[in-house]
Amino acid sequence: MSRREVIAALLAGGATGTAVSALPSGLVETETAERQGDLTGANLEQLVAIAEVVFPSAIDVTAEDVSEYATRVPDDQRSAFHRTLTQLNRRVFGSHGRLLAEMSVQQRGAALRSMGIARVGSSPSGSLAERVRYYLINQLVYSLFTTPQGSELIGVENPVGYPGGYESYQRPPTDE
Amino acid sequence: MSERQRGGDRAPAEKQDVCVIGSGVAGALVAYALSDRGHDVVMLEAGKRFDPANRLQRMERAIRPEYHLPEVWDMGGERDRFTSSGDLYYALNRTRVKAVGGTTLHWLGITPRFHEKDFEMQSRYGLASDWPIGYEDLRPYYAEAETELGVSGGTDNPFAPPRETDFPMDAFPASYSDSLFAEACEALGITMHSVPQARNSEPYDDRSQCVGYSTCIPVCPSGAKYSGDVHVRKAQSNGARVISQAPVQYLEHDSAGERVEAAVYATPDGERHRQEARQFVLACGAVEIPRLLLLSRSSQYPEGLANTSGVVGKYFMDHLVVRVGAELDEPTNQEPIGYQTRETHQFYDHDDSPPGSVKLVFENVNPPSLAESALRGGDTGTPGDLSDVVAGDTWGDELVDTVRDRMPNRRVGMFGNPETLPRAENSVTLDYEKTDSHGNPVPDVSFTIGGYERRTIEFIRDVQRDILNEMDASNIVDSPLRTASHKMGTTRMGTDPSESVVDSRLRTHDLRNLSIASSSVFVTGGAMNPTLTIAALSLKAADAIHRDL
Repeated sequence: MSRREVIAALLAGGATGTAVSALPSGLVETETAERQGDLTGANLEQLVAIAEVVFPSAIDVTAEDVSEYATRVPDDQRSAFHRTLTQLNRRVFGSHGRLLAEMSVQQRGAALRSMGIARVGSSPSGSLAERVRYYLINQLVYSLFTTPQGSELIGVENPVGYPGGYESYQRPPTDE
Repeated sequence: MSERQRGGDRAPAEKQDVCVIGSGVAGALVAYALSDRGHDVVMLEAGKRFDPANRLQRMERAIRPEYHLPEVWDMGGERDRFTSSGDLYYALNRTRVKAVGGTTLHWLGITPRFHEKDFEMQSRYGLASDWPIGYEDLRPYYAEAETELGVSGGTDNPFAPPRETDFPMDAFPASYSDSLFAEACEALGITMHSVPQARNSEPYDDRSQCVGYSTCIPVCPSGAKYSGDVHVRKAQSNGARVISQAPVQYLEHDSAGERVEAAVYATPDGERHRQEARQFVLACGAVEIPRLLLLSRSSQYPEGLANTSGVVGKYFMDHLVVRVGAELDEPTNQEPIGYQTRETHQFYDHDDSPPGSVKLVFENVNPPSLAESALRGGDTGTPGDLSDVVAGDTWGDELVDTVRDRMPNRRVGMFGNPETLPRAENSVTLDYEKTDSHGNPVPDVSFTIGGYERRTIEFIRDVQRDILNEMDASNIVDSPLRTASHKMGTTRMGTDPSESVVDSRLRTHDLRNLSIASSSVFVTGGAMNPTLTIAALSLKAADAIHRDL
């Protein structure tokens, strides 16, 4: 099943979103989400689009995983999380006439870099670029690389931040 | 849990038997031990209560680069201002926590007993002073402390002082990297053994077995590592009351200057209250205890409360960390775990001195946190630094390639803790030029090492080099000297009231109802992690207070 098919299936399964490409409805959905504290379909597709840029190609980005990652946003930060998503949506649409999810992965990377997101620090109260880095990119990156799914790419089974038991530290190398 | 139990009601408690100031491991154990015997106990804690349910978010703070280490437990700001005036900069807020549970929220959890010689430095070597108690006096309390904290340990240490019972849990198995050191140590006649630690190697006391988050310092999300809030909760179950966010401003004594009558504390709403009790216990650590005594000066105690001796704040000690790293020509495959599993006390007991005692620990050198590297966009420096303006951070496949190149998986390391001696000039004093959020002078920590410590450092660096050379290691690099955050010695114990602050039952010489439970009473500090000894002394102090009540 493709990413879009997964998202479509999720939406059909009762997610609150409807259109995924029209900015106005996406904004409406985000406002609803701020009240509900949940991800909308538009939110989810936007996050998947970002994850496909910042995650290594060996990672199969699924809407389920990304949705699960997003649920780790602390309750007291959810409004800021959704607001940042909305503002990024608006900024990208205004600059490029399309949403991130409608671009190729390369175009998305270029769009994010054109906003300075690869050059700024991460801050929950800073500029839009800093907040995108904090709430969206770093949340996704943290969630991936504190699990074996991400850390095994460099040969670590039990990364820092993962409750992987302590058996692995006793084992000798299995490769090289 | 009621509002009073949560600490929202910060009015003083009436008719209390005991007021404990501080809720780290020392205060928690005193409060638990006394409340368990039916005494009315109230605890005053300067910091807040952190919900154990939010430990994963605290861990995320520890890993994500947006936060500095002190921010994991909300340290810093006006409340926690300090100065450092010794030769070694003392980064106080990186190594302490003001909260229910205290600094044990942040500690590593290593819990050796002191050796017999640590109590007898004057008798054996003509150095420093003897403690007024010996190992045998503390021995039953050590056993009790190991049970209360839940210590995993083994009987494979031939250098350990005598013990009467097995540890509550088995020791953690050796790591693969420990095996890399083993052959070299055997060739050099060095005996490796397990590390006693207050971390569950199996489920214990309704807490989880260690599951390997690898973030022990500064936060254990699973609760496998002991922290003082465990016994705060037990004390509360016994009826003890905790008043959080209630920093004590000063202590008031009676007209005769013989008894403390009240602890005056502040609350977030700007109010001040007087907490009265029959007995008072200071348990807020080797920096805040002398500071509070100095802030409580009166006409009868112009140099500070309980300071007739003039040594309150003097003889401050810490341990040093002498680390070395190197590379081997083979993969070391070290999975993160966050703590050490093998060490040696072989260089601890000796007939002559100097050099002093040393504890040598074999590291499980964790690969750099992949998450942290990734969150920095592949940078090793500060996000958004000048080079990023030109190059920008890396993502995706480029990021993985960058991080993989920086993790050669061939690193090993070890560190020694050399003994430090008490020196009167190493101290905690009041800095009147800088104030905290309540307008009180901040603590000034002054710490300088001398020739004894330097000679011991040279000795342990030689041992480290011998081991690494035996392993044919390359790229051997000594890390900068740092302190271990084992703050000790500012209200020392002794029999002579002119040279010490508390007696052998941890009661101040000057005031009949004021006791101190802390590493601040240590006479010498040895080279062992102090927390188990703090716990043992706290249980001993509780026994004495119980007899008085």
